[in-house]
Amino acid sequence: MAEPDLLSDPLRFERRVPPCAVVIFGANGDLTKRKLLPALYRLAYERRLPPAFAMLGNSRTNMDDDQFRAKMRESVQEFLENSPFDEDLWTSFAQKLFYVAGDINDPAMYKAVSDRLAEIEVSQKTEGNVLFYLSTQPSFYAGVVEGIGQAGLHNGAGWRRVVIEKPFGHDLTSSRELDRRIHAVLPENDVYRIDHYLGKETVQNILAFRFGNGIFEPLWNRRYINNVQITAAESIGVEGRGAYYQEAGALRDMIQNHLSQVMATIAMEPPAFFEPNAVRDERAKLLRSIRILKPSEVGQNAVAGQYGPARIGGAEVPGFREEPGVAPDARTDTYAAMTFHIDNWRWAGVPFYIRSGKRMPKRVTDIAIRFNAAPLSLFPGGGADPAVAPNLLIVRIQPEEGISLRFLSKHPGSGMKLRPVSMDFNYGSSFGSRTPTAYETLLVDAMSGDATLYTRQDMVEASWKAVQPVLDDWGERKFNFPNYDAGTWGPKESDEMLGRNGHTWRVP
Amino acid sequence: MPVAIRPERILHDLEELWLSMAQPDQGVATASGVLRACSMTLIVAARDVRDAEAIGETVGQLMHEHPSRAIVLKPAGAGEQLSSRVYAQCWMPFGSRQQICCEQIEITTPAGQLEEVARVILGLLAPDLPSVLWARGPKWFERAGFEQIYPLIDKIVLDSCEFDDSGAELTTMRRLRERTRPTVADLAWARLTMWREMIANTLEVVAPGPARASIGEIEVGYYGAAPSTSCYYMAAWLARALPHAMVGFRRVPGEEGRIAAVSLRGDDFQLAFERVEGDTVRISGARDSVVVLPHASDYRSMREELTVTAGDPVFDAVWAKAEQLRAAPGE
Repeated sequence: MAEPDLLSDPLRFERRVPPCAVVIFGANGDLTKRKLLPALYRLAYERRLPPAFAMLGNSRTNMDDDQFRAKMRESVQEFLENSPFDEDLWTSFAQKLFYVAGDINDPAMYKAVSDRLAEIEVSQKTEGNVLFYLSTQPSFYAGVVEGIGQAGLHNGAGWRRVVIEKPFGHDLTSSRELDRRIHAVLPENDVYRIDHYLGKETVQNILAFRFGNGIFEPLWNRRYINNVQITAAESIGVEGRGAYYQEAGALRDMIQNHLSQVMATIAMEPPAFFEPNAVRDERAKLLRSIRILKPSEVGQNAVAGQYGPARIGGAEVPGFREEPGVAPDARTDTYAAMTFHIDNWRWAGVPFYIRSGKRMPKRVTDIAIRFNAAPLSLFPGGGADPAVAPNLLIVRIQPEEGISLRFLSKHPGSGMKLRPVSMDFNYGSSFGSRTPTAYETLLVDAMSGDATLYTRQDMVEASWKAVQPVLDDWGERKFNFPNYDAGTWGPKESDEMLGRNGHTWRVP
Repeated sequence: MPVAIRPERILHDLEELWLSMAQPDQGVATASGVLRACSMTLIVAARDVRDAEAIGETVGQLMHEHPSRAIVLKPAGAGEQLSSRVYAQCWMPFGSRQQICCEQIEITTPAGQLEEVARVILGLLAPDLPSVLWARGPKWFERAGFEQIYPLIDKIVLDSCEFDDSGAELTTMRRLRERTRPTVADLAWARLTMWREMIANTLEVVAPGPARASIGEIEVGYYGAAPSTSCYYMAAWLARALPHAMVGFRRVPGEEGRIAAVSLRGDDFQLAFERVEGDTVRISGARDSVVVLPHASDYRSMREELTVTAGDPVFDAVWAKAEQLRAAPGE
């Protein structure tokens, strides 16, 4: 038997995070305030940050360190989720926060960051390790990375990594161009493309569920699975993000990145090892197996929608075109649904339906795996047709994280009346403890050099390739928007898309 | 007239309890109801009547991360007969609107009736989930019938620090470990985790990889008359991690049972960890700093043990070496 790793003891020790500084560009922005700072604070609360740690913020706003700390304190107090705020902890944590004001287009700013990092490296003993986090508008990503390169910040005594948020380009061409400019400064291994869906506990649990258990994998293929439906619905509208969303739309904002990654996690082959590149290779392979639609196939396999006004629960809800910051003739898809076909031996012939929309009846993200009906119906008068009430495995990502299995059961009493019942696993009832937010998980991973839950450029390109024919088609087409009412499950064309295959959308 | 307790009766009482809690006016239910949570059976054999009362708080804390059906075995006081009662431990997670509740069963256990109680426990185990026995105090291992519980459980946790007779704990553990089931854990080992992690992290920085081969001497400082099992564990862990080093022990005046210091020496290398007060440790030599470790309470150590549900290969390796060192401390 191999000697256990005595000095790591992964069963009991927290994963070691090396000394480092995190530089956040766009530190006065929403993402920093709502997600990044609360996540870093919570990591400090859990003692998961290294003792030698610092965070250096940058934005255009003129502030000194103390003013920045006061601002960040407000953010943490406001946006910390499911955690108390500890005054003493904040006092010591705040001493590790620093700030440099300056414009990201100004080379002098990078020089100032460089000088400040040199001070921090000595005072906080961060050993020259730096994680650059680009919390800026996506259009600045390439420029910031080039600024880092021109100032020589990409080289130092320790490692240098850069984290960027989606979107990674707005189509295949721009994604490749972004990649080219980033790679001129940093190698792929040092580029961490964050997809916060992959950091969610329940998405990670898909890997545990599939590859930690013996009973599901034999069923996980075209012989037993009829179709897979992935739904990411929001009950809210664009909530002040009208201007951004108008340019993005549901296909770009959700399906090209988050949901295609979720699909890859559900459908990928088992990796040989649980190591970053082994897992990412399998995800990438799956994404490359998606059939690229011909222009003539787009109409049958993709549906765009945009919500119109409605009255819900006694209140008037505006349509998308009436939202602030949105043009009255906006052609944006606030709803998108696609049928993906995965051309490999495991999934040939199994449609993967993915939909995402705003102003749906409720907020829910889940994956429904519908199994084939029993080969012979023994209970024709049973009251529940297995074809209508098929076995369903539901992986709930939010809000009620868990897994449930629907199957038919005999109704108590005389005769063989069947009815569908559900067997539930609920995260809350099995693990009472708080689960870390996606950003806590992903920040620790990036600081530790673990890219398992980050997307790689080949994955990004593969998912752009899969949606590019649809984007091209929609860019040319005139839609009769709005085509669904706020508070409904989307346009009727979406139901028709599944209907052509004899399927219906499950109501989450 | 002997008193009998039956698993069905206890399970029925639990059902009644849950039904009553689901009534908003009578129980703890809120508009969102309560969530019944269970991921294991945790059997806690309390030291005595007072301990059974005191341990309730720790068990309640443990449930937050390890929701369980807790069965507390309370040694019967004078005049007490075999009896049981059920109650719920509930809490509202921070930021949540739904209470999570776990069930607890207390069985008052007169001496001599342990065998019968083991049969009751068999009917009370939460099916298909792991079961863990936390044996508080060495006396349980002397009681006839206690071993009847072993086949029912997956893991037994004891605390070698509670054994008076130096060496008795290792004998007890050896006897337990000779069985294929349950696996055996020692809270004294879990209490070392923060020390071990601190040492491992420091070594990673000051003596990464091959540089460790130059460490030729390990010295564990102990309080009291002789090294405790904890000291042997620490020495054994370091000896396995640094196989070229010789192990020695050094007596330090102070509170018995705890580790006082750890020194690692080699050619041109010196690294010392010294407990200066309570849980504060001064690091000197290749690195200088002061670290305040979280207090290794029973709750904290048990919480850690419950996360290790299967085997613990590091502890297994250390255990064998600790036995060797105990037999020949100068090795």
